[in-house]
Amino acid sequence: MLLVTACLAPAAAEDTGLSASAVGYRVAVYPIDNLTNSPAPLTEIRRLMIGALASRGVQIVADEAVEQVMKRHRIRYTGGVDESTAKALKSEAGADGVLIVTLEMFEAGEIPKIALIARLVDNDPVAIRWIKSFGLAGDDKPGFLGLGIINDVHQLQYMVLTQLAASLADNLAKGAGRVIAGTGERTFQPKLFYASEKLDQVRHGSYAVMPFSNRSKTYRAGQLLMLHFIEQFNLTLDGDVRMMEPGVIRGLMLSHRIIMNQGMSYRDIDALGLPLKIDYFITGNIFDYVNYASALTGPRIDFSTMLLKAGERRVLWKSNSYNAGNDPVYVFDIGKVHTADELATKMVRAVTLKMLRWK
Amino acid sequence: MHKPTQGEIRGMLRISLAAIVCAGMLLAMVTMQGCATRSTNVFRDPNMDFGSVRTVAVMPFANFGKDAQGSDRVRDVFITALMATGSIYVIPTGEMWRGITGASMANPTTPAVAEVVRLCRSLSADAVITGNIREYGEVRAASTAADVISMSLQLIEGQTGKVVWSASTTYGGVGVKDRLLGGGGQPMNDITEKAIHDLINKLFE
Repeated sequence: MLLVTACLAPAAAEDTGLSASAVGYRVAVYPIDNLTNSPAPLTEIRRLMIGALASRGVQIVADEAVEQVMKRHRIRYTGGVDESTAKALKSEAGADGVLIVTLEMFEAGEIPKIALIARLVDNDPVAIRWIKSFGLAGDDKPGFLGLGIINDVHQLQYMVLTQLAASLADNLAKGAGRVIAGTGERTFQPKLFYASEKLDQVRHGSYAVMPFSNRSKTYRAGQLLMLHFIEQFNLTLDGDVRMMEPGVIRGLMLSHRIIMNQGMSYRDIDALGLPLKIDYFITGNIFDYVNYASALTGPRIDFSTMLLKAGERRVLWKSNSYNAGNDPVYVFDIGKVHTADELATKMVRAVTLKMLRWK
Repeated sequence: MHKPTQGEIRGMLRISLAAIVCAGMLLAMVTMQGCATRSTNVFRDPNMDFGSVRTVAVMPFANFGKDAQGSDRVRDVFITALMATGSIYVIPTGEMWRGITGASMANPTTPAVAEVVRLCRSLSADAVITGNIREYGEVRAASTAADVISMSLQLIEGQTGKVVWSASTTYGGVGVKDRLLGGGGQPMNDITEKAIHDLINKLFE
């Protein structure tokens, strides 16, 4: 454990100095939001994450200060931050941003698997500054005679946390990363889609991704897919774009007692869109989000996506996507996707790129 | 001219009989293959101007299959495919449910005439589409299994509440090839798309 902690420092002695805007930027690390519906070492993962960030020069707000704010304001939900909570963290704990880490998958068996989605939310104004998902399975690269298989979940933990910490430190040092190019992998393109002729106007404005309606058997799959969409939108859009923090939307829905069991109605669009000045809503249904459907297929994901323009109350995009982990495979399991996290990333990226670059 | 012997005649008769039996079997295979794959029935009101239907609400489908989620999945794919034609706009499901609640519908899968008229007025829709999922999932025949979908749709005009179009289709199932060679049939998503495209083609004929 000590060896793993020590190893979370950057391997190379490169300059990880923060940018001018990030100097003095203090990050409050929230407790891990566990969406696996099974036990996981959340405290250990959080501690390792803090260690990895601190070793890269990121200033971390003391745990006691964060706990005091959470206790004082009775904050129980750690999957997002609303405006009042962000203000409290800024004024009382001196945090410029909140790091929200969601545990998507954790299996410590013979072939361990771990996947995390982390995002950094600025407190003033409340906005998503950085978001990244990363997951690994022990058999991602089995190699010759299976010599590359990783059986130790702690090793996987270290690899995932190192990647996330390095990406966040990079963002604080250099600002937003490059916008991804292309149209996504062909295998993961949506199978059916409708694109309005007004879709090419969707390049500017503010976006809100709603939790997808979960028709699958996986615990909170709708929230997981929502986070993947936020990540891909952040990577695809540039320029004058604002991505709404889900915690802010959640806070408004709770205060207005808005429940959306069957999707968004026009009243919901107005109730959320007008006060928060949201131009576009992304929502949909998820029917399958399985990490292990069978030995042959691996993970399986089936979802539909809808893009609504708030002002006109019109559907501009609707698509259906379904894929399994062995879809890109032609021979010898080459190209097989081993985790639902990676499959979701590829599928959501393909939908997002197709939707936002439609002509 | 050589007169055929009795043995030669018997031989020719045997060959002819074998040829007839083979042809019959081939015909049966083709027919059975067709039966296992697809069948469609359509009703269309000749007095209806289908070009005036620009906005529809797709009601929840009645589910008679084994898969509890089958009707939701099929309906979702149908909405996308219908919108993809570019001719018909489908009201978002959330707004449709708000209309259902406002119209006080007892059973949205089988709406009454007055309920349809009320719903279409509140949603500004030209028509509603209802559907039934008769079969969705795996069907077994002896030692073979395959996925099958059997469904029907109805288009109900919004001002009068009359059914102006109805069609049904079946795709998948266990065919002769599956019985002889195995294989498990076609994937569920593929036959669902085929069935839906078949129905949409019938709607726009």
